[in-house]
Amino acid sequence: MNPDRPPSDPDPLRDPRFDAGWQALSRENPPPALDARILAAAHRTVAAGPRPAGVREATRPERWWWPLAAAASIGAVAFGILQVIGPDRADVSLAERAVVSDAPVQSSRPATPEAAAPASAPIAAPPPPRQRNSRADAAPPAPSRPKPAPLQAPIAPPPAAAPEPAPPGLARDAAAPRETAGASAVGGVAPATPQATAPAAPAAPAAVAPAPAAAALRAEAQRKTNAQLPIDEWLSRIRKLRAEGKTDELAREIAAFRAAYPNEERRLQEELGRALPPRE
Amino acid sequence: VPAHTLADAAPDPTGDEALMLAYAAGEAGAFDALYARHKGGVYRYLVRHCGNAGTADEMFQDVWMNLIRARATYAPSARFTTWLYRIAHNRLVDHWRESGRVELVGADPDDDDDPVAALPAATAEEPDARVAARELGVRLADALRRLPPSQRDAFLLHQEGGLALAEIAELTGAGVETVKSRIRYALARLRTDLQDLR
Repeated sequence: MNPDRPPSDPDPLRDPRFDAGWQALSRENPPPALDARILAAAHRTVAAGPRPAGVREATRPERWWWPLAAAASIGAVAFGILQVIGPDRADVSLAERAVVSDAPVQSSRPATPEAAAPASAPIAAPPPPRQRNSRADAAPPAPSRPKPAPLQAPIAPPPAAAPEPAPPGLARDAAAPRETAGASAVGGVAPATPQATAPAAPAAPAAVAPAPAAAALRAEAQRKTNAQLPIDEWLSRIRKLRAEGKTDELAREIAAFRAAYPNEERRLQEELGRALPPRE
Repeated sequence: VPAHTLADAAPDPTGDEALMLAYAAGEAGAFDALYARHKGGVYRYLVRHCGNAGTADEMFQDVWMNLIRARATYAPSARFTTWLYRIAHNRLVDHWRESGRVELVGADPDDDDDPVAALPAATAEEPDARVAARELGVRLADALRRLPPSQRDAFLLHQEGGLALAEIAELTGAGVETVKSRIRYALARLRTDLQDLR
């Protein structure tokens, strides 16, 4: 019989005589050592075991700062890296990226005609490539700005001695002006004067300018260069462009020729015949 | 009719279900109260079945350890006593299966051919001096040990655990009428065994 059960239960499945017998047997209990072992296990489990789900929820607010701490750690690491690298390294990496990349990179510095002029001038001797990586090259001082090409004409060699420039308006990438200037320097055509050395610095901004702007700048520079060409040589170039079918460049070249030699329309007519567009 | 219903026990903060929930929430003292309340019934249930104190001790500890481990999953959808004795019942079935003995469920001899009336009067052949020397409890325990396991189980769950017929039926997987029949047969055999004490 269960001694904890309420007495006087009129259960037909119970026999009062057996209830007395169960009373005599009810003293039978587990050994005290077993009691102690089970109770200790119960207490130990509650103290050290995993808590139920409802209790675990209560600890969640204690961990609200985990994402904040992670963000702060990442910020500290980023700041430390910037401190180690320094702003100079950051500028260098930008310049290097402008040199090797063909893609148009948005630059905070505007691509001015002055910046493109030195690249187009065959007399301009750029500094060694190593120097282009210096900070002074990236931000040249105002006095050393490149002068327009016509002003450098007195110190330039005759146009015939200049290397054959690339056809104007050729849709090349942004690095093309730099290559032209570099080739000039390697050829030793122009002396490396202070005026000629300084203008090479803005080549990097020109290189990082978008491709359409670079092409326009290049065409303008080419026009200025062609103004110094002899008529025969210029006509030869126009003839070559026509033979190659480069109509756009041909039109620009004709316009430049007409601007440079307004009285040589007849020569132009003889050269191109009916293909000569009417004068604007 | 169950002596206690879940609806009655739920509001009682000292009820078994409330104590078990408190223990599941981390209150160790609730387990102490539960253990003190039910340790005797569970222990006797086991020791009456197996008849061996050592084996009963081992199973008794397993029952309570299983309860401790399962505390987080306890839901008061049934009486705590039913849940507790279900754990004990399952542990007993495991023990008997391990030892190759008859199973509690399935080997149910309580049909019309059950030889309750034809049982020999076990105590009738015993000397009166010996019967007198034995305590009533010992006779009762012996008589229980001779019961078929399914009848003994139903009888002990009803007598020691205080479970209702429906609870025993759910716990053992038998029908309510079957459980009722088992208990009646057990009582009849016990009366037969102890008739010399009348």
